[in-house]
Amino acid sequence: MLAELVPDIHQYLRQAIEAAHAASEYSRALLHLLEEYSVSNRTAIILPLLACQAAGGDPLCAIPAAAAWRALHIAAHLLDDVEDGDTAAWEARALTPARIINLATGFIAAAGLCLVGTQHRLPERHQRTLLQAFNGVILQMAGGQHLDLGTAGIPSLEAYFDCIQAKSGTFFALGTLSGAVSAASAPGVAERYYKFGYNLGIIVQLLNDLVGFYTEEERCDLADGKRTLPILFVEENAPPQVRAALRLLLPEAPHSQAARQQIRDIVREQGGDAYVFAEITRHQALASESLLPEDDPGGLLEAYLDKFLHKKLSRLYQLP
Amino acid sequence: MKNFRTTIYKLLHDEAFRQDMEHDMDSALAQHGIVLSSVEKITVQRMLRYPRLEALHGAALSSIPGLPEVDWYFPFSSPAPETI
Repeated sequence: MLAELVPDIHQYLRQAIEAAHAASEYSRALLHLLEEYSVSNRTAIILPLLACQAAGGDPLCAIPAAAAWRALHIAAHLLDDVEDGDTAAWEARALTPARIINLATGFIAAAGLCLVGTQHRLPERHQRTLLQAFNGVILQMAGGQHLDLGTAGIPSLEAYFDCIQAKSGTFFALGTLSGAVSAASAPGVAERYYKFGYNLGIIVQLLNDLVGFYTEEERCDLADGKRTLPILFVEENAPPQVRAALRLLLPEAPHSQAARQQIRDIVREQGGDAYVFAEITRHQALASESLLPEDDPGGLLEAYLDKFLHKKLSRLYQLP
Repeated sequence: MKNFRTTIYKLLHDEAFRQDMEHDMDSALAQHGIVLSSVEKITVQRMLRYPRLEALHGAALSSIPGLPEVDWYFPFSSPAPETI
């Protein structure tokens, strides 16, 4: 069971941080956060190990890459919280936005250290490939976030896809690529694994948007004024009178639960969530197309995607 | 991409188009001047094959208050009907 290796991934990351001998208070803060994160996102954490196994390698070979990927995941999560202004819970613990950014920087550095670490040492050419891939993806993710943080918000469906491809697609692509490289796969196989992960990452974001759109909490997508895929679809395709009604309701959403419910009703009536499902289905087909039968003879990655979809959708819909 | 979105919208809101698509997808697309990629066609075929989309406005099955009332699903966990 790959889930049993999750503590090993965190342990590897912990050792990389400890070995750097940063100021003790800073190291302690990083390790404390790592401890907190060690119980979350367990399904996602194993992706590089699973990809390594699917490509015919020993999952243990992917521990350094999985630890690096996990470090990047934590850093992205911390930065997201600051950039979304979602810092109340952190500030209650005396972690100011500036400190959160500083901790995220530490995790980005730790990701690089995991890849060049001496324990479970990766062959040098794999280290180079992975370092290049990690740094390239960090830049792409930052570019996607830059688009997302634009003052005008996401202006169109095309811009929305540009943004999630850069933020989520490349990140999950890095997860599957890391596994394939750790399994010493040929470059062509690693490239196809990258494509699979890329589509998986887009599906993850589409599902998050769907869940976020229907989540009703004090801080939720509609209350935060986020225009995600279901809304953008309606804004592009619905008749003018429906779009006008939506335009009037959206500014009300942050402070009116009734407005949020009306928006959800309009979007569902117009097929906004059906369209998100269509995009999920399209990217699932693209993910399947990415791999040749011999790339993953056991079908591990497709089974992972199916299971992930079912689990996520069960939060919203009663599935058989 | 734009054509794909237009197709999805029309499938949900234009019954005649939907029936044409169910009868002969390629002819219906050509008749409406819509060009789709092969993966987009596969997606639309899947949507047509599970024709419970219209039940989007159907009975509540959601167990969480405030979440959508739907009685349909895409069979993500089922084997795909065709090889991709």
